[in-house]
Amino acid sequence: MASRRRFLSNGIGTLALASMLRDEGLLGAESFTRPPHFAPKAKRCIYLFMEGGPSQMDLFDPKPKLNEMDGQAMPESLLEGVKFSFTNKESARLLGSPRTFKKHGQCGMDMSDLLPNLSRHADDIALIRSMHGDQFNHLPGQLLMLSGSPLRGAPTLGSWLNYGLGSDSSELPGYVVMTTLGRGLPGGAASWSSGFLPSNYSGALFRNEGSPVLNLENPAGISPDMQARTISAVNELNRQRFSGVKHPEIESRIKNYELAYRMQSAAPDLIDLSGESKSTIEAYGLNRQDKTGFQASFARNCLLARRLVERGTRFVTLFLSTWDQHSKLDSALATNTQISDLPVAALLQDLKERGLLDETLVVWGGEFGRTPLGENRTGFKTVTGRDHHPYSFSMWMAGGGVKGGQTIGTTDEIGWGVEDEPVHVHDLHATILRLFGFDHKELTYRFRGRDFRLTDVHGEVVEKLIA
Amino acid sequence: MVRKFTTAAAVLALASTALAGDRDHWAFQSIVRTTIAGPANESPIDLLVQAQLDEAGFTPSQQAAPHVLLRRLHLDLTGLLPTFREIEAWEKSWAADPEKAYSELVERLLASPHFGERWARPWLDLARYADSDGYLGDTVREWAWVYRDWVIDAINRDQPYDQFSIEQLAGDLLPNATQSQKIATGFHRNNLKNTEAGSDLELNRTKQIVDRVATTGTTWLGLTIACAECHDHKHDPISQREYYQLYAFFNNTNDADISVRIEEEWMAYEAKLNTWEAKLKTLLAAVPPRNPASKNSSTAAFWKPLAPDKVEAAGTDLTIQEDGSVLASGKVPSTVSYFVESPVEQTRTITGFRLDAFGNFGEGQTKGETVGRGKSGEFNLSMFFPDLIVDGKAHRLKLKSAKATHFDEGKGSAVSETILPTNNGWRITTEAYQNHSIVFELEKPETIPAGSRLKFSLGHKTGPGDSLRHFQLLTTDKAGPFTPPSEAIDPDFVKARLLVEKHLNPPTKPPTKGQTLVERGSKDRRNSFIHVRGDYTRDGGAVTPGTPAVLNPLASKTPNRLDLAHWLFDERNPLTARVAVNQIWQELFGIGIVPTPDDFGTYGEDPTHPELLDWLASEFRDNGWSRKKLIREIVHSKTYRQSSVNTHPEESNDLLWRQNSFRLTADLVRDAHLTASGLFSPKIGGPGIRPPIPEFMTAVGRSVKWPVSEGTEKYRRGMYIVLKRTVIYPMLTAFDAPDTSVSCSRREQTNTPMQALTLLNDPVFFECAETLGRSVLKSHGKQIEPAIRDLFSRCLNRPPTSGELDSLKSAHRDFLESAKSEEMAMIATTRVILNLDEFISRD
Repeated sequence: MASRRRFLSNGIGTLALASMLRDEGLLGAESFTRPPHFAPKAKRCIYLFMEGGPSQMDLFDPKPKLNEMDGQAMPESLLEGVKFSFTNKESARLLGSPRTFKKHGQCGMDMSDLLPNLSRHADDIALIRSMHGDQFNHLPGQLLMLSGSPLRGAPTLGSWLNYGLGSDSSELPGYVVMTTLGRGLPGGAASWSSGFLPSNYSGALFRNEGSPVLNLENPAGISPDMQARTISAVNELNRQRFSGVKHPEIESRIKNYELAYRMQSAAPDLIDLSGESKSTIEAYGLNRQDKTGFQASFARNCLLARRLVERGTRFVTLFLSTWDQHSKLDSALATNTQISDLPVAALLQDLKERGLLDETLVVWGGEFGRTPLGENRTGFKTVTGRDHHPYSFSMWMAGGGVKGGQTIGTTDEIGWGVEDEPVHVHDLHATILRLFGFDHKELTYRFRGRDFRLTDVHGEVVEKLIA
Repeated sequence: MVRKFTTAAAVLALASTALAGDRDHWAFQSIVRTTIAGPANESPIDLLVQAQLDEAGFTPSQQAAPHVLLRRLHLDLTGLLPTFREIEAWEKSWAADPEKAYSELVERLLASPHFGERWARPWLDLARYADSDGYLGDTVREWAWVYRDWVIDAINRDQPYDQFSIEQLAGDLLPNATQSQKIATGFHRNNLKNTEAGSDLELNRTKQIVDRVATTGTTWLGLTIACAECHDHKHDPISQREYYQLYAFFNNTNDADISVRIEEEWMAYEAKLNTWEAKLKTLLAAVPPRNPASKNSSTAAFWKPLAPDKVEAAGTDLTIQEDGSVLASGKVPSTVSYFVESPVEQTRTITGFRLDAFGNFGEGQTKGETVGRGKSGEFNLSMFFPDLIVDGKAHRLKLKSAKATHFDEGKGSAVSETILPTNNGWRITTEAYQNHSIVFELEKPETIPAGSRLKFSLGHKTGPGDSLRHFQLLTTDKAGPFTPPSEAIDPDFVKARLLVEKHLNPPTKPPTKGQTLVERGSKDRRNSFIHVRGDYTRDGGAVTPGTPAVLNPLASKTPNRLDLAHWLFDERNPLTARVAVNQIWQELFGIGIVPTPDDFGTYGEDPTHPELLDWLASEFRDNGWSRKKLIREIVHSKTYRQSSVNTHPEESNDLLWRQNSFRLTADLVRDAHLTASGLFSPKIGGPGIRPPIPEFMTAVGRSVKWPVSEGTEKYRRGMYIVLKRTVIYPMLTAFDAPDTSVSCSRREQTNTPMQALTLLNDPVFFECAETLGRSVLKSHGKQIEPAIRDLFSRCLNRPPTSGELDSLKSAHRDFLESAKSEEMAMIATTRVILNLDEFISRD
């Protein structure tokens, strides 16, 4: 104590004080990590979650046969073996895509005209056209995709990775979540929950307007030294409480006070984009001005995601809602890709230029895809959208040890079911964990007497995805 | 462990093998009240919990320490921390007789008007209560709080839960529905509403009905009925047809805003009215007689009034009166020019003009009239141009001088009585209730031939609204100079009468409305049909109102909403009572007996204590659906009173071998700060409040109006913060308040660094630290130990341990060294305590 006071009165800066407090064990840094099972390729992940279910046959999976059969009923031959959940076979009509597809990159990857920017990165991307899941509705589908279970209560991928690897940043949350302005998220906090893992592994939701984090400044009259001393006193007392009542939430709170303290100096720098060059701002499209502000909002989130992983944040989820186009598919999809195509491409480019892509896994996808059948209203001419479709859909990954420039899996002629190389959501999770050096069967957490894992009792690593 | 664990994964495994729509599922079976064997003086709650603990080999925990019980009961029953005095009284009564002290405390808190606030909050979450429409427009719902106050009041008077529910679902259909019952029916007015121009109205309407069905399912049935909107329910036995049968109950209402008489408001209004009347009487009595010699003889006969035949003004109505005067009426434009034309019938000579502006004092309670049409009755004539029109050609008549009875300093530079009309004008504002005149002398006498016309342009260019109300134009042939006629009125009369004039408007009646629903008339019924795939444009077959077959049958063949509400409270309904007691249990233990309060279906979690759930459900029914009785019963149990100390951190507490400890909800985090600091304003009900929010939230372009509440209003409970759906107060969001878009049966409990930043740096919380720190400094001066003890008592309601004392003393010494100010050091020390986990926890 005496030495701390001496330092205080000598006017040693806050950072020095913080590190000293840490040395004294008063601001203990996260040190508890689980040894990896494999040499990790990925260290960080940016998960671009396209909520609602993007239409794969309008973006990544061209179906000439489907276009040919536009407006027709599903032929009996294709109906065979196809499971319908709730679509009427009698009234269902196929819906072709008005999009034009081209082959891109040296690998010749198919992408539609809605992705003029992303398509330039075809050789970095591993496109999976044979994704499948088993949840028809949004929230269960989102929870399955994010946590491996369609029910609330399971930890999300970002929580598992932070639990497994700890945070690389002592100054910022290891798991950050951002939604796009005006386009919230139906699932709310369940989509970044730490479930049964300690709550300090849950995602930290940054605000999507104004300052991403509020209350970063000390109140008037509270000097940085006093703030540091406040935190150390709060945590000292919280530790005393913990030793008595043993509620695990107190430990999380202690960690969060330490982190909050460090965020106060780190977050202003994180969110201050004034140091970014004009060309970067333009590349991401931050300066775009649409009436709603969605474009600039998502662009800013993409840039912030890069700044976060640059600073050691383990897992960033960017939500973009909604791709749930039951109707007006063509125009709504164009709006979504106008919002996202440019910034996502810029993010890949930026990560690459900064040498971050090798260690940063970028994942793009929704909770499911959409049907090749149109949602028929009063006749073929008014069919303007597609329904939820968990049986086959497309996702892509890049960086972080993923072998780019390849397309994995095929779907049948009209894109109803997976034909080759099926990748279930659990398989994707197993593969992502492998990229981070974990055997998905071994990364477990004991809860109520049982060892739980992200993939439950499922999951096969897709070796082909790994470079 | 005998009990089957119902973890997420276990349920998943179970669900994947279970048949969708399992009718044998426990929640669809009748409620069975277990016969409980045990000593009569033991609470059945304890016997049932104990039985399961015994089976699993657990021992229950000790009763919590008295100070923990005090704080727990306060937070659970009123949501407010005990005051210093309440702590003292508690300690004394506990020392005398703990059981008696406990019972008395429970009774006092159940009777507290803050009980209704505390228990309204979770209900308002279910009701997705908010003060605005949501969506892009997010129009403020000025009267949403009337429903909110109804909930608080209904809970305070312990309205039986069946009536409480029936009134909210179908109060309008009750025979001779009272105002209160109609307000209650506003439950289903709280849903989001898209009022954006150009949006599909029928789609928006159906979306609202869909939400009403879903919310009814969550709130009373604990079922995720909404899943059957587009297709048969995936795992519960509810078909899409049954979904639309429920939908049909809600498909024939109209939104209505009804005038309501809120007693408190009305009493305040009547009090104001009485004061107003009394004051008016006094003011009227004080008016002396108007000076009888008011008529000025200089209104000599040589001034001849003109008889205009044409008047014109853009944006307002001018009419010519019988006496030739001109009256302006209708809209009051900001600036306006009057044009007045008068025919010349025989050739004559004129030497000047006079303009009379008329005002008059009212008499008794009759209002007077002012000379001008401005806000204070003022006018400002900024231009006066006479033209002579001969053979259609106008030429301006030149004026030499102007002289007014009176003028006021106006806009622009002052007007002189002798200067010709200028842009500055002739302005009257102080003597607005009396007549005024201005006279103009022509440069030279003018001969005006028969058949010509005189045209006057009277400009009012300064605005806003300062134009003449009633005026007349006159001419003369007498040689100048002229003197305007003036009225000599007793100045005391003017003064007194002006006071009357200002006081003539009675206070306005409270405009308060209630948002409610009304059933459409018999000629105006909507047909309900299955929406194929949830698309309202696709008719999948007609349906009539009905309830799911898996539940109890509905008596009526042609049921309406009221029948639906009664059906919920039919003895055979297996869900309503279970769901309700589970909601109450959740508030008192942090987690429900069914941990998924919104899903009692096959995908939800099983009850941890099935027999207890049923016992409580039947007890609730048998006690007359009294919320207070049920809560009294639960909080008296040993199970509730257990210590929450986690003596076996490795063991799950599903079986309740201890109480749970949990973080306060967002609103209560705020309330704890306000009560501990002494800033708290205990006012209950009324319009919501707006504490300051960060600037960017109301930045220009978002057109969010957020007039910050003044005075003590801003220290009211968190539940009164205006819930504007697109601008939820950030502190509430940081602590997991729901976004109010859909019914919320259980708040999330996150623990984030942003919460730490909020507690540390949020201006409101810091103000609490400042206030409390200063107050403690004032009481204890430099004596730090008593100060810390005082702070502990106020914030944590217990004395500090010696370890805590040492830590805080040391921190205080360091603060003193850094801050070089006793005050700031004490504030910083206070702030430490307000940031403790314990402060925002309920143990």
